[in-house]
Amino acid sequence: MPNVWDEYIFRYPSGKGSSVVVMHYTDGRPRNYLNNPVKTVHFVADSTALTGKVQQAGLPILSQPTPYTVQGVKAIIGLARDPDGYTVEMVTTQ
Amino acid sequence: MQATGWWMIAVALTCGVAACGDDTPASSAGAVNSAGSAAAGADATAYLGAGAIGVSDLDVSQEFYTTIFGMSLRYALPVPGYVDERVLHFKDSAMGSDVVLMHFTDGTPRNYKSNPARLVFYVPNAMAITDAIRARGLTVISEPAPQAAFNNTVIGFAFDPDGYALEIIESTRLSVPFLGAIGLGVADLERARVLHRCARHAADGRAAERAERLGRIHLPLPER
Repeated sequence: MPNVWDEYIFRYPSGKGSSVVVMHYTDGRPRNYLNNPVKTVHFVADSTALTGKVQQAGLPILSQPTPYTVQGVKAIIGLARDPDGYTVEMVTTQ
Repeated sequence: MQATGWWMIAVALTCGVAACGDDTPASSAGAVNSAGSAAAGADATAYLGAGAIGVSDLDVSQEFYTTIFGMSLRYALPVPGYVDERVLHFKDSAMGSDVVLMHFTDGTPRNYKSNPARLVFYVPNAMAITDAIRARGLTVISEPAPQAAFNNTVIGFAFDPDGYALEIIESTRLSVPFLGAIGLGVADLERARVLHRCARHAADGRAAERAERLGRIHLPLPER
């Protein structure tokens, strides 16, 4: 969107769930892009392996993959931060 | 976790510095090669489960999203000493991800107002949504109107109670709304662009090429 923002839109190959958009404003107004209280929650085949790859990529891990039971569903959940400080939750249900 | 899943996660995170080996445009050739091999091991089941936003008042935001967009509370999830979450969903829709409202209780100050994130909703009637938002005294940034660049799709913009931007896209094929996307403002779009090149050979190449051409693309309506 010229003079407002530029963005890219991504979807998982599964076609399930919503898309993720990364955007950067170009309207000249100052914005704080860092450490905002926003999170994306990704359901993946192996959250433990993915968390390891995220760590290898040099990104901060907030929580190593840990078993939880949420609403009666068992899951392995890892938490990381992306380069802008957005929280990324990686979930594998059992 | 198979590699393409990682690519898409990395793209979603805009983090693929290590994933592509470098975050400079010169690295794109290597990135493409890596992405090409990654595609063979795609995690076909991965999906975005939810987009979560920090809000200043959970009750206010829950009332807003349930009333304006017809969402329902799936469950409340208090994590004592850290965060209270409320998971909202469109119980009558099989499309899109959940919306999670978060309010942190760990004592760390956070800015909940006017953050550069946005929620994109597909709705049956965009004007009805923006009228309802305006009636609450909230800002309608732009009235729903046909956008010639996007096949005359009717799109409007407004703010939620905390100033998160809401993109409201009309699809008369729908009977109920759904969350089309969550947008994350990033400091360095070029970093995401490199990952974008990575992902082009994985899952979303057509969108990537269109995005580079148009600067912005209209979200595809997911298959039912």
